[in-house]
Amino acid sequence: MKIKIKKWNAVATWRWDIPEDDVCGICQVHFDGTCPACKYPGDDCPLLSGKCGHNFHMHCILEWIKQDSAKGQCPMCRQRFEWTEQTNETSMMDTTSIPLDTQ
Amino acid sequence: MADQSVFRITKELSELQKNSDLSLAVACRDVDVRNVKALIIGPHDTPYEFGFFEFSFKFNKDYPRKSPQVTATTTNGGRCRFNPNIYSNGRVCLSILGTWRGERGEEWSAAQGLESILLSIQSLMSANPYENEPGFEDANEPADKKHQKDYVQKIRHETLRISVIQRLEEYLGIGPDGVVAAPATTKDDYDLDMDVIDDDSSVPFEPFKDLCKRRFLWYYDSYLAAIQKGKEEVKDGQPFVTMPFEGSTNTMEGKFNYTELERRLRNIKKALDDEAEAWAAEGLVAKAKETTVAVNLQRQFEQVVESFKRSDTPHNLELADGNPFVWVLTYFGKPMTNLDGGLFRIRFRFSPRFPEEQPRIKFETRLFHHRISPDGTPCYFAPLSRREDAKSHIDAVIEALEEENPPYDPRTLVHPEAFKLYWGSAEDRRMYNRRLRRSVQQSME
Repeated sequence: MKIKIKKWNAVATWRWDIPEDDVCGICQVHFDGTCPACKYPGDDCPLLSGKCGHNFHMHCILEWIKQDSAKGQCPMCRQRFEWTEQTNETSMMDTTSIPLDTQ
Repeated sequence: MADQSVFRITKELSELQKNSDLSLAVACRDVDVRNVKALIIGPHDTPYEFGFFEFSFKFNKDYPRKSPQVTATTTNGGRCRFNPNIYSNGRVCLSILGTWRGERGEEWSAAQGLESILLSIQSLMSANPYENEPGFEDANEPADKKHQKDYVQKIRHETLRISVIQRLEEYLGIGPDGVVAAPATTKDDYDLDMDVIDDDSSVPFEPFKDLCKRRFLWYYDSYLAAIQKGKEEVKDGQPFVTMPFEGSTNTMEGKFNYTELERRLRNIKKALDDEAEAWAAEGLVAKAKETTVAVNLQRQFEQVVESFKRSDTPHNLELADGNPFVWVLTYFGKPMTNLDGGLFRIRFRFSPRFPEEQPRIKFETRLFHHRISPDGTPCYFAPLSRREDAKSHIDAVIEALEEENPPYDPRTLVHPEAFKLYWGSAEDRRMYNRRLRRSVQQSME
């Protein structure tokens, strides 16, 4: 069976409000993807931004920081890791709809 | 988070393989990414120069929260301590691995990884490793000065003997008497029964065999120069000096014997040349049987000839004796460069195991060039991802030959004399250009 898409509407696109080529310093996966334990990016796999300016998947940095040997330090710069407040709200919503006709 | 580590290791491996740092190589079996082998080529201007040092990495499930376990495997079977921090039992003392008490900020962190560990180990291989030993960092008494020199001398000897010569002799099946054992009869692809295909795990995993052979050909003259230097500094039979920090079995002991090393080194060079020579004969058999590799190379050859025609490339490519495993490229020097008017014959020898074994390439026309070794072996980089594409090798050789402003990179030191002139004073560079042009001129006569 052949399917012809005549029309589709994108409702929204979003990406984290951070530099485009930034990857998680722990799992080295791009932030558009999830941490290795999750399936879907977004609110289920949020990011944490440190005051030092380094970003991580929340799951990755929590796994790291809960170890004694981490001494509460950021893995990137070894400063004390403190996250900024707006944790879950760093995502940027972009609700443009794109009507598109293929025929 | 069981698989967290596998994702990251895979990523790091492909990243490292893509960047193809000329002094680092990594590999693992497809079924087992947690066990990685790594090769570090010793840095220029150190006693480790162009030695082949192998390490094994074991990544546990808690990586990268915890560091991997790293073991040095180039230790002469646990008998040689190559560095104050690289023990004969394979232990690598590094603060980022947690195998050494580190200063604040030097411990393991999840942001560290395969490459940063390899670079840390490589930095241990310094020009004066004596001062790596804690307590000896600032030791500069006359006795220490003497020790530093003695230490460098024995490391240079063992780098050549163990990391280079022993390794290559093993690869080539050269016995202590210098006789090359007949190679195990190569299995014919067509006679292979499905159920006798080797189980991966029973075959020793030696991912760096072909790489080390090709690098040996690059650095052969540097090895000879190191032997020459050693001969001037020490006598055959002279025992190594024990360092104050060396212990009972964690040590580097032995006697100098550069005469013997030189003999073995020349023997390896000959065996490698013979090996590439033998591919031609093997290739004719493969051609008669129409093996996959033979057909593939024949087709690639025709495509390259065709592409030369289409793009008006002046160079000429033909097969030697109609053998698809031996290509002869006649290169016409690029106009308006030092190569202008030159005419060079370059022989490409392909292995019946291509692309697992990469081609051996040789300039048959003598050329004084910093990227071509005195025996005619070019130092070029073909992208690893396209190594099965024969044309990428031709293109890369020509690129190395014609490159106008290469960055300074001592890992491309394949012709010590030309390299020194090329990167020397302005007067040296003029001398280099003169000698290059003279050899280009001679190529036309």
